[in-house]
Amino acid sequence: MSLRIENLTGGYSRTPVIKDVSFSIGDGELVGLIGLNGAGKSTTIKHIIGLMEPFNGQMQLDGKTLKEDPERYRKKIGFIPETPLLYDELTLKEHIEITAMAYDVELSTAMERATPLLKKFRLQDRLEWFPSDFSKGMKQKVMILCAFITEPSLYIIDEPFLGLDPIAIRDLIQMMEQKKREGASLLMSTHVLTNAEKICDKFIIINNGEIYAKGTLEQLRKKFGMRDASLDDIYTRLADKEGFLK
Amino acid sequence: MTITDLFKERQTNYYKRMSKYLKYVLNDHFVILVLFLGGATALAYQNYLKSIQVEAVLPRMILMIITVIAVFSGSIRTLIEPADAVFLLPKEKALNKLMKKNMVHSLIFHNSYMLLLGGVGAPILLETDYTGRIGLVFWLLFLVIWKTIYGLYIYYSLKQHKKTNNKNVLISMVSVFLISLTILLFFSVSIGFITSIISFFLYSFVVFKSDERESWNWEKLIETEQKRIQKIYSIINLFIETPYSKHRVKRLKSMDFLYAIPVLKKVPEIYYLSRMFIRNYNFSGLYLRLLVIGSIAIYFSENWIINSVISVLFLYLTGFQLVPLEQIIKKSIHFRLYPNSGNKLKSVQQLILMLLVISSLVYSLFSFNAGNTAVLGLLFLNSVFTLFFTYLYLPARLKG
Repeated sequence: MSLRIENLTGGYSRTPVIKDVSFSIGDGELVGLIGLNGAGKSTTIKHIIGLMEPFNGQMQLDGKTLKEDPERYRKKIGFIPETPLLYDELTLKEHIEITAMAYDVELSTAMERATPLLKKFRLQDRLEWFPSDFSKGMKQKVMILCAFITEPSLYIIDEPFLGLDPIAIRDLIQMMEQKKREGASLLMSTHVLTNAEKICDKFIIINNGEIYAKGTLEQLRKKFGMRDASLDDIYTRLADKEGFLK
Repeated sequence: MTITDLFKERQTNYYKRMSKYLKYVLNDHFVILVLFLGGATALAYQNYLKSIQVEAVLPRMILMIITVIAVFSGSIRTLIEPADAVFLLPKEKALNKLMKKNMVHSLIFHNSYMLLLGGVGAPILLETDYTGRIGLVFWLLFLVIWKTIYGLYIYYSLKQHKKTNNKNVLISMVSVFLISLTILLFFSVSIGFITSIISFFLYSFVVFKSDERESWNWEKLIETEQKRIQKIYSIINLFIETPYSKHRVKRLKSMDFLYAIPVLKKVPEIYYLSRMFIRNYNFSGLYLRLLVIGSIAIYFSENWIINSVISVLFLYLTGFQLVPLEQIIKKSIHFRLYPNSGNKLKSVQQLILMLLVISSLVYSLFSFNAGNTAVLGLLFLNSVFTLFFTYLYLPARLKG
């Protein structure tokens, strides 16, 4: 079992934004985190990667908590944030270098891992450029690349498809499926439900800081009595019925 | 709310912010220092004036260089913000009037220091027996007129033109100015003055003729304003930490050999800080300026006490300006996620120590005019101060 979250409650100030959230992601599993804007997806992610301290609850990654061994815990996570966060002053090559340094990956190994990705994203000629001058999609590619070269056991990807061109979306999906086959766990938050439906093994629907439903598409269909419905259908119906949209 | 109100409000906020910062800049220490340095400079200038020979050319050459720099510096305070390019586009026409107001506003400010410069430079013209009192009036008016022409050019350059148009106007303005200044300083004050008046009418005609037709060059408007604000902040930042907006970054490939120093490759923090320091002009520029100004001041002083005061003061200013480095590391999400991050304070300390050691060495070497013992003494004093600053003052300040 890779990531296990039990009764996680947390938020920014004293009022909790997420309440009593429990779920787990196994090895080789890709889980989609679904919810409206402000539902608590990003806050959940921030707690998992250890940017925020939970009020309550337990989070374990491969059996260890962040407190027990922060360095090992962090090394196991590759995080791709919703908006690209890059260093204004470092070139693309130096982004790879500093990532290798921070995650204790040999520089030569990191470059080896990066080369096919650079080619795939058509960035191989821009190693000496500042990514901060790139377009949104290209910046996102740099973030993806830096996360993938550390070869973590848990990938956390926040809204990965925005700004990427169709080919890059296809490539990213392929890369994620490849990692899944290799036994990594992936948590992806997204609004692009058709993509999520295609690639995710399980879904967690989060609303107002609480888990509303979780399981495979089949389980969700059964639970809500909607045979053959797509994830989009289920979600919209659910939102209507439960008044998410109010 | 009209667009005029919007800008009025911005202006109020701008002045409020600036006056708040100014309070910190003009603290007691600094005012004393300025009075001290100002007095010393005035005295030196007076002595220099006495030593000028009648009909000497060199002093006027120096005056010419300073005048050129002064005329072609500064820009119009527009208070444009990046989001304006999205939200205010439909109101573009309304900007014409506002921008003209802004231009006048900025010109009043710029011309006040032009007049000051003219006043300070006037004795040079008198001492060399070049002109009389009426000539001085022409000289002052000349400065004001050319600064105004420069302001008109800046206004013009913020509108949409073909790149070549802009360049042509700039080149013609610079060349006419140089000719007119040379005439004024070396041949005839009145003819120089007359050329400036003719140029003024010519350029006003060019600028305002195109004014109504052309729309604003938003990219440039935003960029110029950001640069202007940044420049102000970089000065204020000498005294107090200011919020950083976007800063200019240059690749500076020629500096890459510096990153080969082993200590700069050990942990992500110092890896990033060292590169950021060099490529971000906010930091490296200030550091270099302080280094150069301090060295020059020490070089010209033969008194070891003054040398010591200047040296320690400049080391302090240098170190002080580097304190925000820690904030940058602290705010960055990356260094909170990296499993293998080093000690943040230690990384900042290492970098500051390296930079202060370089400054200490340079300042000590430049004090050779005060004798060999002074060099050694200053080296000792600087080392003590550097260690004090890095290992006692810095941790205490960052804690507080």
